[in-house]
Amino acid sequence: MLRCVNRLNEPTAGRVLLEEEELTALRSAALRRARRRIAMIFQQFNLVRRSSVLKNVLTGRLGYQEGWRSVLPSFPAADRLIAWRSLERLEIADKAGVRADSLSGGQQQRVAIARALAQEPEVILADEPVASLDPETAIVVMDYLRDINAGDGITVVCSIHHLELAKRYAHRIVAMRRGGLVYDGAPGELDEGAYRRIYGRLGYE
Amino acid sequence: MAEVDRRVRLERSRNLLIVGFLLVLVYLSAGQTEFNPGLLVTKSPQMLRILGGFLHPNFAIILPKFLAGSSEHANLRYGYPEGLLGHFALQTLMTALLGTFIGSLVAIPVSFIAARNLMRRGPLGSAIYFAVRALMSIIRSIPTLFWGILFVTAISVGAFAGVLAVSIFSFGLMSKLFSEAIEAIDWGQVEALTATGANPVQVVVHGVFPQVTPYLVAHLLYTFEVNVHSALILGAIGAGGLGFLFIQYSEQLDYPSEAMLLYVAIVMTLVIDYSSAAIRRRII
Repeated sequence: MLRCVNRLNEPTAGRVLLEEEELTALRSAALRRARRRIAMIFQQFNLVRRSSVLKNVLTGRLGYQEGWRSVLPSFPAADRLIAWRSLERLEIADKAGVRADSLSGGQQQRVAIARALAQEPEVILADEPVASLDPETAIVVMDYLRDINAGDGITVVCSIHHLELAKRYAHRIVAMRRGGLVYDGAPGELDEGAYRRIYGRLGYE
Repeated sequence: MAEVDRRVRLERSRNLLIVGFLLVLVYLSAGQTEFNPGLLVTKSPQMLRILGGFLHPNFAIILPKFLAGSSEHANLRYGYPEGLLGHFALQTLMTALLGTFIGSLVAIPVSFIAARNLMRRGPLGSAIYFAVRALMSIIRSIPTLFWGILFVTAISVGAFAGVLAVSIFSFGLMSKLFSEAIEAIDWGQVEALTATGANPVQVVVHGVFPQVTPYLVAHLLYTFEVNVHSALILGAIGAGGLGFLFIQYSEQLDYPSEAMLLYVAIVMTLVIDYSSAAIRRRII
């Protein structure tokens, strides 16, 4: 579902709206401009593994480059500054020069968040951001996402199968089951009945 | 049980039929190729003379005088100009090197439009993909030696024809290997850049290229390796390099010089193949 928002996958039916703009109707250049506003974080981090951490974060600026300059493998100074600030924000600037694949999973996901932040987005789509991390690292990553949401005013839409984490971090929980909506409300209102609807007849977590 | 027996027998007779068919094919091949082991016996004195050359190679022809000019070709039948072997060996290497460079220069950009995962995302991309793939297959189906003959007759005898033949072959080999490396990339990294709003060219520069650079280097080295072999052969049809000398010595029945040339070719090839293989192992 998240991948339909930035059109990595095409929805078979329905529309996606960001404020007044219908994302599902956009084509090429307009779609790329819309994607600038919507950053994405992946379960497998999807960093360019052989490139340096800084270069990875700089790719968050690609959508802002225009014309022939955009295909050169170098970035303007202003972009480098934004990338550097993002790295500092995620407290991983000391790793700027090392190759992305030499980092641990948690560090890689922080770099991926820095890349998303460098995009200066309005929305961050987080597709199972902690599913390949151990529980402690997951908390660290989720804390960063919460800080970014609260501090920078960026909406974070996070898909997650771990209900405890969802209740702890989310302002609003939407539960889907077999393509249908089964819950939409505040985390505090998730009661026994809602659990049953989300997880089926067995009714336990 | 009867059913099982029947099946076993059926399978056995089918296998016998296949083996019989293959044996008939082999027998027919012997006829078609004038296969005659008797010649190995009747021609043994001749073969021993050639083998004798390997025991007494002509060291005179490798005396180092690298700048021996190509004007000395004409004198070849009257003696053994010093440094001639070195000159032709160097020419073989340079033919392979220049051919690898020119062929790959074209093959590298073409590989991106010959990669299924990048191109088959729409009707136009698919059309280009299939057209480029077809062109690549046609080029690869013509052996390097034939390209060499074409260029020697079309342009002239000399190393330039060899360079052109090797360039075309390099293009065919390199574009196939490199486009397959591009097809094997991790698509997640590409998606991540697409999601930032990068355009397709940016995605290739920043997301695809970094993934394939080690394969690029490895395939360049391998192509060079193959090209050294091709450049050796190409001399035989007058397209420059050691093969030219080999034919000359052979026509003069000069077995010691022929043997010396082969020793040089073997050492050259071994050194290049082993060092290239060692580098490739390290980077992949």
